[in-house]
Amino acid sequence: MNRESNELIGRYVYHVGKHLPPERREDVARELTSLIGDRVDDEVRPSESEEAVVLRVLREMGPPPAVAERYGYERRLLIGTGSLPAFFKLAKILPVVILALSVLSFPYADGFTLSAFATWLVNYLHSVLLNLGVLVVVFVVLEQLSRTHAKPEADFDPEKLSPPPAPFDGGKVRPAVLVAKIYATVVVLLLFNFYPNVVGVWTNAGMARFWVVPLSAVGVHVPLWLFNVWLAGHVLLKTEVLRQGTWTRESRWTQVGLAMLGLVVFIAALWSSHLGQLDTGFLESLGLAPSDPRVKALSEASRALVLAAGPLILLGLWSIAKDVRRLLRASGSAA
Amino acid sequence: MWHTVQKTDQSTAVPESLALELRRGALVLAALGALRTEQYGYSLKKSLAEAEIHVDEGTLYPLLRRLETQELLSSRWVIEEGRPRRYYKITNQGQATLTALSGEWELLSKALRRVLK
Repeated sequence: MNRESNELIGRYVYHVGKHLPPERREDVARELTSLIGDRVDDEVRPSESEEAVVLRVLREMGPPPAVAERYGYERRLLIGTGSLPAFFKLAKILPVVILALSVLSFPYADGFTLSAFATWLVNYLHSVLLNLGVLVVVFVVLEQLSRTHAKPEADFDPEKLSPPPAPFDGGKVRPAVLVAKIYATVVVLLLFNFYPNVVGVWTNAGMARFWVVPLSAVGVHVPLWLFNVWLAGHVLLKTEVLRQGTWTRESRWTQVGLAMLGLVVFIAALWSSHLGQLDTGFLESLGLAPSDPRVKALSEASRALVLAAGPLILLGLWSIAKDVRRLLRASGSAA
Repeated sequence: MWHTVQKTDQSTAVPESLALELRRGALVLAALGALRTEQYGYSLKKSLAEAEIHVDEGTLYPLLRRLETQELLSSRWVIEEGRPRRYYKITNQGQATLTALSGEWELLSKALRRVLK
């Protein structure tokens, strides 16, 4: 089979694979390549070029999403087969994470009674069911957003399929680490938005105000909506990486974008906060009057800590620049 | 999709969905029967076609995978003529299923003949 024919088949098989679960892609791709090759060899005639036969065979097989659908029943499931492994991973770990949080929230101070345990157990089961429901909704929405609708077969042109991207080594996907990070991020989102008092945060006019150890004397403010966008971006990115089973060029660039947004959040927090100014409430709790000489020392210490933000920002920028350089190099070598 | 080559005027009048529904179950029987001899996907398609059972790739190959998942078929990769080919063969469990399905087919066929007489 000539190079052009192989390239056409390669493109087609790649596009079928995009709609299959990661663990089945290679096997199905190998089989499809072999089957198409057999059929083309069988049907090629001296009167027709090999590429023309390949195109005819691919047209007859139909659009890649339709072929993948037959392998994976994509349209019959609200959550596609490509997303199911990630969904199950998250669904399995979810009860454990909620259990850990529930154990922490048990009212130990009131003593252990059967009725308190029963209430706790009901609340735990309620939380698990609620969160599983939320997980299903998130995956269904992601699925619907990512699903490529198959074009009508009459419109399908195998020649117009884009070539597979050059191989990209985006690093190993560690599902357990990603799952842990997703849950940690969701927990932070929930705490900041619904249980701010648990972590010493309160919100005012759309701003989250929280204590940062050891800057406990300095109120740090951050625009809550920006903070939420940043964290939600991380959750969506990691869920998508789990779903795809690989770090792609796009997901790595998105990660760089989120790192930049993280810096923006950090700088916004510094900009919006009255850093170096000690909170009067905090001083009262220590029994210190504003005129107390120790207040000045504390204030200077907090300013010094704020100065550490500069190197932190530089470190963040350096890390981002390193990632960008690596991605650009990968793109350059691919080209 | 599975279709037979020879169609009468009456059969073409049958709604395609009903015809497909009728044939779908029988395709499993046909594939298991044909795979008593080890074959790769395309050769199976051709041998079914010779028996006037025309199945498109999009239906046949996913079906083979499902039957393999159900342990009714086993498969192995063989490099032939410079091309890797996946050969399928019926398993013992598949053979038992084929025998049972063939019996069902005979019973159904007889029963339908009586009903349609």
